[in-house]
Amino acid sequence: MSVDRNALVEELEQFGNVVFCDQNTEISYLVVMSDWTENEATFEAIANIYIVPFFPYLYKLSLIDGVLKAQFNSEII
Amino acid sequence: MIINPYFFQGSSCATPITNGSSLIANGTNNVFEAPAYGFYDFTWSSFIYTAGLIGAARQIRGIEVQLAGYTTPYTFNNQTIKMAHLAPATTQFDANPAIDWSDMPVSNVTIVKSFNWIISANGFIQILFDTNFCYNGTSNLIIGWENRDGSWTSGYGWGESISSTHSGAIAGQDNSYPTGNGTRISQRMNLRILY
Repeated sequence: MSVDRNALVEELEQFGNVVFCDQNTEISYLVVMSDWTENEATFEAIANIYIVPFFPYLYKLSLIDGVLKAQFNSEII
Repeated sequence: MIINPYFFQGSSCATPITNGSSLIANGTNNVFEAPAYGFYDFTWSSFIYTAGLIGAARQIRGIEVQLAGYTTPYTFNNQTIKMAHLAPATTQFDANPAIDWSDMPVSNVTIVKSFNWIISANGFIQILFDTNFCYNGTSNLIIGWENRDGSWTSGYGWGESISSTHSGAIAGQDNSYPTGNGTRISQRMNLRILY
């Protein structure tokens, strides 16, 4: 089992443009959005469904000028 | 002429190069922010190595840092490494570590390397300095790593480190280089010094 990227992208695209959405390394998953129109909580709600089951630990989340970036890890670091 | 004591470095070092090396920090912790963090456009990290780890006076001509997880090749442009002596009594960062070290009793601050860093493999990566650092054998050593790449790229990994209370400090942000204070961490980046 792994992140259903297609379903995740479909959800994310309701609120912005997907710049990057994929594994960054074997232990980290990275999402970068531009023109994000919602708040961080909206993103986290989506991430909880699609990313967190496989990469449970939110390591970094930033939202500046509509650019949302998030890194999730599969292990505690 | 006024010479800023924090940035003055003599042109000669009484300690000769011996082609030796010492592994002064060696752990198995993963720290994405060490030494540079590809998540952000700009990052900063700094680590303290106490005198007992380093030993005698040495002319440090380079370092090796231990990386893992990188998709290679991976490039960080506009990197700057600084070294300085740190007063022996100071072995940790304070609660709000200043990115410019203005809160640290440093001396002989030296830019030892400015470069575009192309990471071609994981493991211990050697970096030879442009300007050697003349370590005095009694002070602690502080290293600063400025990542002024200005963009992020996926495929970044992490640095290996060892647990050590308040021995590290990090900062990062997009759009501009961070200023003010960073965050201290209880990690010391794995490091081999070449001298």
